[in-house]
Amino acid sequence: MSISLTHYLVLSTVLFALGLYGVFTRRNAVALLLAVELIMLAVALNFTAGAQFWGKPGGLIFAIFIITIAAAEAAVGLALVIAIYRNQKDVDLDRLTILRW
Amino acid sequence: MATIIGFYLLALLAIGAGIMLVNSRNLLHALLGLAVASLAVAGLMLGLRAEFLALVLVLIYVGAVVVLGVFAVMLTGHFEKSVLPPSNELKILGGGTALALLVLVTGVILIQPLPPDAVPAQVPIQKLGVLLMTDYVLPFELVSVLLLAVLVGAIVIARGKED
Repeated sequence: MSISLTHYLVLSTVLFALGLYGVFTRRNAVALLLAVELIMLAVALNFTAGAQFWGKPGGLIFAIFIITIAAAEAAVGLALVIAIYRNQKDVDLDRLTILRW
Repeated sequence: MATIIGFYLLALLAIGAGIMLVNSRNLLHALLGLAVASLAVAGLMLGLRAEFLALVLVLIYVGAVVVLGVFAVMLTGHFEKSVLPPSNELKILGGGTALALLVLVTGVILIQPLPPDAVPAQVPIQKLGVLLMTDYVLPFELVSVLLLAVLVGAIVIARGKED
């Protein structure tokens, strides 16, 4: 028995579900963004495993793009959190109602 | 045998760090969880013979995202203060949804015919570079435009009003 593609796919599904749980339950904006990063990490692992086992390097390129976009999302997301903190002195998502009409 | 043990060790490390990321009430512990999970996934990518991706992952996740996260934690005053725990209702609903997705996707993976257990081959970096400049040149350019927009946008948003 050796490590097959199924192992990697199931592992990345577990990581994805963990990240999803974090997105659903976190009430702090920074913590929520970190959970989104975990989701992106799981997807990057998924693409890498698929590309390597099917022998198609296109999947590796997509993993590179996913990592890049995860970094971009972190930069803008955390900048927004800091801007909100400057206005509201709070980043609790339950009390964040400035976009509510 | 060594690869199997290595896989399970790294998988357990990644899942444990992920649990710490979503559960810890101290945001710096959550950040540590993200760093450890990224390192574990980078190790798994090394096992998949995707060395370049493992390197990029460590550079960007541990080197950039975690550092940005530390800045955000400190600037929003959560350095010593712990964050609010989720309500029980939210825990049940969120946990149930995540668990349902986990069971569903795992079921689909297990019944799906997958390729035989080929040993992954290393893709030379040269090939990746050529692919990036030929077949995938349009997404590559789009990502570079996105990065420029992010760079400008993040500075403009975070700078705030001028005094």
